[in-house]
Formats: sequence, C-alpha cells, structure tokens
Amino acid sequence: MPTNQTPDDAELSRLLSQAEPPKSPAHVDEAILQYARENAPVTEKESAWFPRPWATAVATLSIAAIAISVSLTSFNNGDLERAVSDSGFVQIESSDAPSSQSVDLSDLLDVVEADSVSVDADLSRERQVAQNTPAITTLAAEPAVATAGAAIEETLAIANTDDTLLAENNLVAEEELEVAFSAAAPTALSQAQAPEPVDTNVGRLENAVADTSAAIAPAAQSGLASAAPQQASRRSASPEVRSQALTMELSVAVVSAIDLPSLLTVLEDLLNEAEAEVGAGADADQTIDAAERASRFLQRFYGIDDETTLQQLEEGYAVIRSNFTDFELPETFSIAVEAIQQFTN
Amino acid sequence: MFEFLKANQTDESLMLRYQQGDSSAFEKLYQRHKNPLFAYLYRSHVDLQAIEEIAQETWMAVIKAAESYRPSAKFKTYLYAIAHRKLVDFWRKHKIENLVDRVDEKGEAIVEKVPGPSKLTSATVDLSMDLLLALETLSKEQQQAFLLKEEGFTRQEIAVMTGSNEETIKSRIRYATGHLRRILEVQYAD
Repeated sequence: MPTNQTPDDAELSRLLSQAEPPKSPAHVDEAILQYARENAPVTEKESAWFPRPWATAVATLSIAAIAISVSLTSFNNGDLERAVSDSGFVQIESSDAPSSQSVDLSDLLDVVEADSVSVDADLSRERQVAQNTPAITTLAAEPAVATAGAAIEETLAIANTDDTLLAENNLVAEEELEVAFSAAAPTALSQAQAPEPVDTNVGRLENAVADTSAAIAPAAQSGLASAAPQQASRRSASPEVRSQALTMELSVAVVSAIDLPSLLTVLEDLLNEAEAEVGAGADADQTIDAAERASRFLQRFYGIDDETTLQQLEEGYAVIRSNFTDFELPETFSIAVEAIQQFTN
Repeated sequence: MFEFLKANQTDESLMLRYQQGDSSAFEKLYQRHKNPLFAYLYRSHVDLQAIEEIAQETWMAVIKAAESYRPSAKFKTYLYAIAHRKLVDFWRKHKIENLVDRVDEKGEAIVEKVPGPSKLTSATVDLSMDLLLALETLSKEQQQAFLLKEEGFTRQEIAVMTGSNEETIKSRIRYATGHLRRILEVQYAD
C-alpha cells in the first residue's frame, strides 16, 4: 500500500497494520450520522406528480414533439403549394403577393370553378352539336334546307325587335347554322371545338357560310365574294345590322342555289302585271341570260316610285309565294329583289 | 448489475449525492472511512476521548462544508486533511509538543500495560505496540508525514495537506523511518 518503500519501510508498514487500532465507537457513529441527517443540504422538494429522474426524459420528448409538429406543418404547407402549382396556377411569389402576404386559396378555387363551369357548358354545347350533326347533315343534303334557311330568317326577323332576344337568337342561329353546314364545311366546325366568345363564333360562322356557299352553289360565289368587304365592316357593326346582313347572305345563297331564272320569272310577271295596270308594262325577254334579265328587272323595279305599285307587288308576291310549290321563295318581294341585286353585283 | 454499480460508487459521487440531500449516500461514505480515519487518529494521538472528539469534529466539518464541496481532489485526501488540521488544532490548544502517555479506554497508560519482551505472547504484537509507542517519540511533523505516508498518500499530497513542500515531507519521512527503526532495534537489542 505505501509507495516508494524500501524493505525497511515495508517492515514498518507491516508492523503498523498489525497493531490493530480500535474501531470507531458506536455512539460516535450515531452522533455523526444523526448530525449528517439533520444537516443534509436542503434541496428543492421533488414534485409529487413529477419525479426528478423523469425531468430529462420529459424535456427531451417535449422538444422532439415540438420539432415533429413544426416539420409536419411545413410539410403540409409544401404539399398544398405543390398541389396548387400542379393544378396549373402560377405560384404567387412573395413579392407578387397581396400586402397581407397571404394567398386566398378560396378565391383561386372560385376562379377554377367558374372556368370549369364555362368549359363544361361549352363542351356540352359542342357535344350537342356533334350529336346533331348526322341528322343535320342529312337535312342539309335535301332541298328542304331552304325551309330551314327561311325559318332562321324568320327567327332573326322577330329577334330584331328585341335586343335581348336578338342576342339569344343569334346564338341559336349560329349553332344551327354551324350544324346545318357542318357537312359541307367540316374544317370550319373543327375550328369551333374550343370555347370562344360569341363575337369570334360569329366571325367563324360567316366563314362557314362562305365555305358552304362555295361548296353547294358555285354560282353564288361571285355574290359572296362581293360581300366579303362588307363582312369586315359588319364585324364592327351592331348585332342587329349584322343579323340582317347575315339573313341577306343566306337568301342569296339559297335562292341562287335553287332557281334564279324561275324567281326572275315570278318577279317579272308581278312587275308586268303592276306596270300593265299603270300602262307601263314590258314583256320579259326570256331568250337573254339570267344576269341580263336580272339587270333589266332591277332597272325596271328601281324605276317604280309609286307606293301603290310597290304595295301591290308585295301583296301579289305574298299570294304567289303561298301557292308556289316548286321551291321556297324568299319571304318578301323586297328580299327577293335584294337577292337579285346581290346576284347582279 | 445495478447493485454492483451502486456498491462501486466513488467517494466523490456519494459526496455529491449527499450534497443533493441524499443522507444515505453520506452514511455509505461514513461506513467506508470511519475506521481507517479513527485508526489514523489513534496512531497520531494517545487519548481515546480526544480521538473521538477529533473524529466527530472532522466529520462534522465535512457535513458543514458539503454544500460547497467540489470534487477537485480525492475525497480521502480532503477528509484526512481536515482530520490533520483538527489534530494540529488540538495539539496547539493543549500545548502538546512531544511525547504523551498513551492511554486506553479506562485512562490507563498503555506504556505501563505493555509487557516486556518476555511477557509478550507474540513477538509481532510486541513489535506493533512498540511501534505505536515509538511514534510518540517523533515530532508531530515527522509523525504525521510518516502516518499519512502509511495511509497511502503521496509526498505531494502530504505536502498539500500539511502545508509543507515536497522536499520537506521527503526528509521528514526519511528521518521518521530511521528513528523508528533505531528505537525498535535498541529495544530488542536490550
């Protein structure tokens, strides 16, 4: 036990350890231990419900729980942002965000919902058009197309009295026209697949009419071509004017496709009757071509300045039209004259 | 396993536990050191009543200083340093310089009880008792240096405990060893 000992030191240590000393007396031990218990350093009393040995573990678990909560919160926010980004919305950068620095997701969702409804309505309309296409194609292939054209004219004429109705009827008319001429103008229809504003559809409809006219009535091409410059001006015109112009185009196309000479004959007969009553009648020379005949007819017609004669022409035309079965005559004498006028141009 | 760890707790950890208010830790510490300390005191001084008083004062000093205890050194060194200081205080108080008659529990002088070589039942026991008597012939400084060395402290530790330098402790130990050897040789030469 002792360190750095010589043999003599070891001998002395051995002798000292063998001289057995007395042990600490019991009464001294009791006194000292009693004093130790009474004077033990005072520490904070442990909580009855929270023992000190658990303090470290509880503190560690608390920190871990907070860290996990913060992580999950951040993770969820990231997911939401990614979801919004994936749905096609441009992620709003902090510099672009409102001053409140909070993006109102409900507003974004409302925008999505509104767009979705609009797209759904457009798609539904297009589907309806597609479903009706075969039947309309069949109809368009028959001479009865003229009847449809007249019906549309009639609808548009009524609509002219009411702007609100006009807008609605325009829409219906555009759709029906698109359907009616889809067989002859598939390209124009395919361009209408994407939902677009009404103005755009009107323009496209005019193109479709032009294409269709070219397909079914080559003879009317010159007339439509002359109307082309007017289309540009019509795009900026009011709906009413545009509707009337469209009706006229339709009349030209239909009449030209059917039998212009026959129409001229009808109109010339009426004119002859009226002029005969006033003593200024002229026989129609049916040996010249239709263009010349139309030109002469118009020259004669514009030469009439008597209201009674004009009224008589309209009434007589209405009677003939009601009994005429060869084809569907234009609705009124004026419209028929306009059609002739378009043809000569 | 747990019991093994508890049984092998260091003196310093037990003292720190007592510092936190664990009285059982102090009890364990006291059981470890009470008899060796009492033996050291007994070898240093002859009066058993005085030894009990010094032992009690030593342990009470440890208890009072427990709150400010810092394990900067071995607890045993800390304990014996206090005991040594108490001894020196006692000697100064009673103007004890050198040899004092060693007495037993009944106050009878041990020297008188020590039989002569012819009366000893065992030569070893005789030598041990003679050694204790010979310790009383040393100066207190030499005696303490020798006894603390026998308790296992290094010269450096003894120097710190007694407020001396290491070379002084070394010479005190050398002198004490030679003196004790000479006394024992003389006694048995007679």
